[in-house]
Amino acid sequence: MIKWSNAEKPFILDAHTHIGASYLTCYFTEKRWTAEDLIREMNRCGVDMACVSGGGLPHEIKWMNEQTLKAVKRYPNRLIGFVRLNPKFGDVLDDLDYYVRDNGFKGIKLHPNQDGYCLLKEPVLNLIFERAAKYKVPVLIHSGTEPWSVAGQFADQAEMFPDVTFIMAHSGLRNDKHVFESARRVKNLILETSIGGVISPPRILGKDRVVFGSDWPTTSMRSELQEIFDLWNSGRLSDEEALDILGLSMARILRIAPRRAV
Amino acid sequence: MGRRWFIVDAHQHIEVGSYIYASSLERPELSYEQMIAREAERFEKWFRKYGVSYGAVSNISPMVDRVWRSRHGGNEAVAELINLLNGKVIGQYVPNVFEPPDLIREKIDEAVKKYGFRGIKIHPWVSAFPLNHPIVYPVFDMAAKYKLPVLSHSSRSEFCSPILFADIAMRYPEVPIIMGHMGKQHLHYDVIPAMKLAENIYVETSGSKIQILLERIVKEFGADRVLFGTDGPHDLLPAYVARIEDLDVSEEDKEWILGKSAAKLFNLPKP
Repeated sequence: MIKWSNAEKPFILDAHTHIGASYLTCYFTEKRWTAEDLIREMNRCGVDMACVSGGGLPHEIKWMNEQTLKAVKRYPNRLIGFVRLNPKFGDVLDDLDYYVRDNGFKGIKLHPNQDGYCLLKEPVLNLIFERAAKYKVPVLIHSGTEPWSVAGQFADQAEMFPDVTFIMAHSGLRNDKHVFESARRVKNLILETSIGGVISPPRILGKDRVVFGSDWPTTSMRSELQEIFDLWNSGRLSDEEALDILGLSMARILRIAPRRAV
Repeated sequence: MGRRWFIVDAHQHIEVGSYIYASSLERPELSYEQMIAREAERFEKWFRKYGVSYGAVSNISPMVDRVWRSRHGGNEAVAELINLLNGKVIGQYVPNVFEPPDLIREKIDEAVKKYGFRGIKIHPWVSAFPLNHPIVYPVFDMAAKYKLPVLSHSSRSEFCSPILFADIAMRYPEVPIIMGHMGKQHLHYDVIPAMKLAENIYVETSGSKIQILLERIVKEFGADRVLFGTDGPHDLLPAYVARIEDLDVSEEDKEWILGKSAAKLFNLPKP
């Protein structure tokens, strides 16, 4: 198990998890992970809360949103719903309204690589981001695959929509300098650590600019979390930086109270 | 870490000389001797702190510099480390594939006989050459002659995609070829087909985090074709080990991945 750096376990919020599958698992296995699997993994790793969206093959998206809603209702103190949207679906804005406005989901998940569109100025994305601003919810977006979603495009979007909080899932899958310089251009772009790791400590990029995510079940949630503790234990992150990355920053972004559950 | 494992880190780098992103305008503050002493201390402390038994070490500098500034382009620093760390370092020689074939052969001869290198490391992305190009053949000829495993960086770079591993591995079936990073985060679908084509392809785990891919590789090819690596040494070792511990494979398979596969490949005694 993970050894906490101090006597009291910190509040941990995983900003990026899935039920169903992830786009990286679904071509290797037919296995689908349930809300119970996720809660079990969170308990094992000491994760108090998690942002969750449905993942899987394109035709599963709507069904997975329904499953995510059921999961959030079943575990309201542990799971935070993010609606998985495909801008190519004609009713994408209806889905956005249904899950965010009517059912209390606190974020939007986009996957330009899987759904085949570029993270550039285009009408439907603009409408999605306008509503994200209206509902004050962050947008978590897969990053690191050309030409669909690379770091510079995130900075462009963040400049165009300064009232929207953009979260770069995977921190661009490394390519550190490009990611770091892109993130520095704007204040409303957050780096999420799954797979890509911590590109920059918050002392350089700014408070609440780096959040822990695992992208479970793609990765080992425990290993992704251990990376933050390894950086903390080795002195590369200060106490404040580590606690912010582990959960406090994401709680502030989501405007929720940090609640320990494990 | 849940238990004490026998760990061999199959992918490490010494930091002496040029680095991938470093500007040539940057000047080191330390002398060469001071840098060697610093690196020896860093590796020694790291091996002790994390209980790692062996590390396969190469220098980035000879990969970055197309025109070398010394006879071995910075491999000399690894030779120093081999001497200083008392058997824990498996030296990985980085050849300059842009030199004349006879000179490449001559230098690898020297690296093995004079300096005790036990493996080859190449970085087609950083050095900018296709992994299966004929300029690499002299390197593989020597690897075959001395039974040296060849570790190569892999990624979506056009120079080192997994299919190029299959091509060179099929040309040199007697040479174990280690696919560093196993395609990284983009070419995950290419790894298994490449391994199917050539039994002498091994994968090294650093830089790839897709659990289901590694589980499939173990199931289809066996854990003895998977080598644990950090691309370090660095302080994320516990996280990297946790990733292996969390795989849905047997405990024996985990033992092979973390240490026994590399020990077998490099003929290492268990300490």
